[in-house]
Amino acid sequence: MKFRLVVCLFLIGLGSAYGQYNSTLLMNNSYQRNTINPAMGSPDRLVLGIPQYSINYTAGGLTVNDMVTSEIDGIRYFDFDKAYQNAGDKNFFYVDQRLEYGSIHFRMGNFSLSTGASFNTQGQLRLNKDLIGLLANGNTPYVGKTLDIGPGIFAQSFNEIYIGGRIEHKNWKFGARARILNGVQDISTPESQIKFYTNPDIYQIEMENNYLVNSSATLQFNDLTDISYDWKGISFNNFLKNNFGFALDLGVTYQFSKKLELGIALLDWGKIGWDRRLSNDLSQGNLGFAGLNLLDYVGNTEDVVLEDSIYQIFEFQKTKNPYSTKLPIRMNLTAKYALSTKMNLGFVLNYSKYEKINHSYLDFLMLYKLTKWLHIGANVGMMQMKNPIFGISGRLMIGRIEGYLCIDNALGLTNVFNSHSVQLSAGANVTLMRKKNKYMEVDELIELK
Amino acid sequence: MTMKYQGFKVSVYLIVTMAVISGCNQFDNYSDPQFEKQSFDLSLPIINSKININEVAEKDQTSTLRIEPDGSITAIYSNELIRDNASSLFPPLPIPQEFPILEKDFLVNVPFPSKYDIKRGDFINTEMQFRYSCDYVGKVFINIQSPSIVDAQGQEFDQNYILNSTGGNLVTSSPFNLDGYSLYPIDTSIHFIYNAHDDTGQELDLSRLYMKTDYIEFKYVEGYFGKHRFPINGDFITIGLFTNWISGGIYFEEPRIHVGVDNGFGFPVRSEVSVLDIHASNGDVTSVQSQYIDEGINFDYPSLEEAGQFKRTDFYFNSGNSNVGVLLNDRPVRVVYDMSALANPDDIYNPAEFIDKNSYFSVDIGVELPLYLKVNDLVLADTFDFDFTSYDYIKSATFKLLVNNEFPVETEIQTYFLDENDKILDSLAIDPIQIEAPPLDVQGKTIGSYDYSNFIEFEKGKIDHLLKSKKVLAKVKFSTNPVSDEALYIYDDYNLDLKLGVELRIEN
Repeated sequence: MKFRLVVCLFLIGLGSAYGQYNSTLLMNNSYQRNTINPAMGSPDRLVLGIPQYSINYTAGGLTVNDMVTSEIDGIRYFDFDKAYQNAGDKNFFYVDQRLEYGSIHFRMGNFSLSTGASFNTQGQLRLNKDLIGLLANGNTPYVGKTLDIGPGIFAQSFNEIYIGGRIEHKNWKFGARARILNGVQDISTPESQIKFYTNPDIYQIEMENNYLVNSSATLQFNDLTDISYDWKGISFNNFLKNNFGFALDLGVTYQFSKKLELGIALLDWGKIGWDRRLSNDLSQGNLGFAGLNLLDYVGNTEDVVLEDSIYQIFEFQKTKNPYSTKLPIRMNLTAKYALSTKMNLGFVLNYSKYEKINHSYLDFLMLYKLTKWLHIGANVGMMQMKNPIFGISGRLMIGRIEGYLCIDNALGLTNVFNSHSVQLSAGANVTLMRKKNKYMEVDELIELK
Repeated sequence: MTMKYQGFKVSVYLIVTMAVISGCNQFDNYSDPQFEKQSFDLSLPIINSKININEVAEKDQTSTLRIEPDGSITAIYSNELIRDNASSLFPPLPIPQEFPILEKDFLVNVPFPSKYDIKRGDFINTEMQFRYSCDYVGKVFINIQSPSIVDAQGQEFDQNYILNSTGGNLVTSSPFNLDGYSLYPIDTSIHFIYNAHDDTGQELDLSRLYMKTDYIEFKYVEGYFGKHRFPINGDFITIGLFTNWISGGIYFEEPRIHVGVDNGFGFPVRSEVSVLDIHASNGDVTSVQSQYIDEGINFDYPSLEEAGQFKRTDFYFNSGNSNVGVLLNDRPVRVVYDMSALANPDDIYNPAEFIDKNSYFSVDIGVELPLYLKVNDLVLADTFDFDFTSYDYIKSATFKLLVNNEFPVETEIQTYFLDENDKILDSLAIDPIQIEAPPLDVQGKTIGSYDYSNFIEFEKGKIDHLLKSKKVLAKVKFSTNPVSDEALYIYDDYNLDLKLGVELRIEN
């Protein structure tokens, strides 16, 4: 599979991510907080969200540069030996992007409504260490051992229209968001088992497979040596006609004290049904290659081609049946604490599971009000409870116009291909009708006091 | 303080801006990685075969095997069946002309083949018409009968026609289908009787009357068919066993050539062999000598009461009646034959012979080599074109060969790598690989099997020779001598497991 293909799969589209909005937690009164938890939002009566963009890249186990050499005469090479030395048991590359075209938020008393539209892409490639070892060393070192080599793939893009509601009752805020989804393209491996065994007898290749590649719209999968990308499959003309999906986001916050707000949210609870330009390729059962039977060539003049026999051992069976993919469900736990009128502190724990990989992201946040119109922030945390992150953020408010930029791992952004994590989000909104004074955020209450 | 503060803000802007720009630029500057020269070790299976005589015969289109009740095997090399059916012996008889019926009671002579004396013929696909005219002007009533043409109920042919005569007009009747009628000719003639009268009953003479048919075809003919010859096409049988013979030989205990005949024709048939030659691998051609070639083989045939049945004759040219025992033990590669069948070879008149349309005469000829044999250092060799140049990424190889032999045959295998001028550059192993045979029990059947395993190293020098070679010469020597001096049966439950794997060092 070409690297360009992988890059395309992960970068062409624009999903809600689990880390890149964390810094908005501390941005009081900001409409964008709604992305972390639908129970959060703006106290203003009418807000117009203008395009906002976010991208999240996470590499677990290996970074890109752990797999490739430095440029040699302008060319980089895959270096599987280096990759094997650096690999963890499970290695993954995850990217999601989200472009929200626009949104409207309005509030009537204790009840708020919001609606908007976005385009999302999310994808993950999982490579087991056994597979990298096989690519690096060949199968000779593993004769007599069973390797788990099935790569896991999950990559999809979809359009989205949502409508959300939020209600406040005493110290509680409840929020829900219903999302109508329209899949654009998908490739996924709901089953990804390939147990690979080299028999010590005469090195017969034996496999126990249950490997299913589903794709819609874009990917043409013929066999392991013939995978191509069909751009014609991407179409925006089938909205609400094909690849229909539905998802819910639910959230609640509790104002524990005047200084402390706690929140929990369950996001991306839903699925997309894929029914356009379909392909299901299944390799299943006990398969392998035991060697050529000379008797097959008695009285037969055709050439003996060992490579062909080896390439065909996966015996993919092709069908074109509709299928569905669940969105990777995510959970956010948040805490916001108003240390002073100038400074907010926060804590966010993101957890999600994407194609057999558990993603966790722990973030400690700080936001400082430099002036009334400029707030700056920083965050430190850990991705996968292992890789450190350091982020910066800024919020600029000029009159009724507000903009923000969050880089949740600034160090990673300077060297993406060496980094385990890069998150970035930016957006803006215009407040058309201001809030009434009775709706105050925590630090404002402190200020008033 | 204010300046410092402003400076801090500007710094923040710059850092953020540069970080974003730098992050984006990385994608533009990052070239697609390519596959680097790599070194790794591959272990692959190459050959994994359980060789059994039955399975070899199933795959080999040139021979079949017959398993005898005791499990011993006979290899049969044969050709497709040669078949002559009734239509080639007694084809439809074309009748290009009309037959005039000159008198009211008249015999029409039909030109049946002179050698045939037909007593009965059952028509099929045959139609008959009459053409007639009369000098009388007016309506003429015509009746035509034939005592020679009788239906299954014994009714003679009897048809009426009406002629609207103008005094000379020649009118053709509608065709009459004779299916279901039989012809009983008088010698070679058909007997016709006609009557004609006007509407008052006054008898009239027809000025012209003709019988007309395009052809006569019978589905069953009885009579005597005379002495005549019908050819059976010649052909040859290839015996692939010795195609790649180099030296040594195989001695078969009871080789033979089989001639099998199925005959549905009701008359005596005898073979007339014009060619029966055996070609040896050295180019020698020797004719089979036998009294049955000189005198012919009489094939059985059904009697008149057995019409519709087939009689089978199996004849064998063997050591007892010919020289095939010697010839088939001299590395035969081809048997060429050409023969005819002689009907009524002694020309003894018998009117109770028959030919049925569904009958045929078929001949199958085969060379039978019972696998009860002695193999004396039989060496076979073959050369294959093989271009290894595209495998230059292989730096070393170790082959693993596993053999399990149940055959009572000792085998030596050697493989040579040749250049374009057939010069030997190297060999697979230093010494030929020697696979012994298991021991025999008192009945001459092998006990257990012989296991062989070996690792064959291909280091750099050998790999270099391999890459330069253009051909592979495989040489195999078989021998039963080390096992027994007597001929040995090859049984259908003997197997040879041949397994080959390789460990490759790849650097590309």
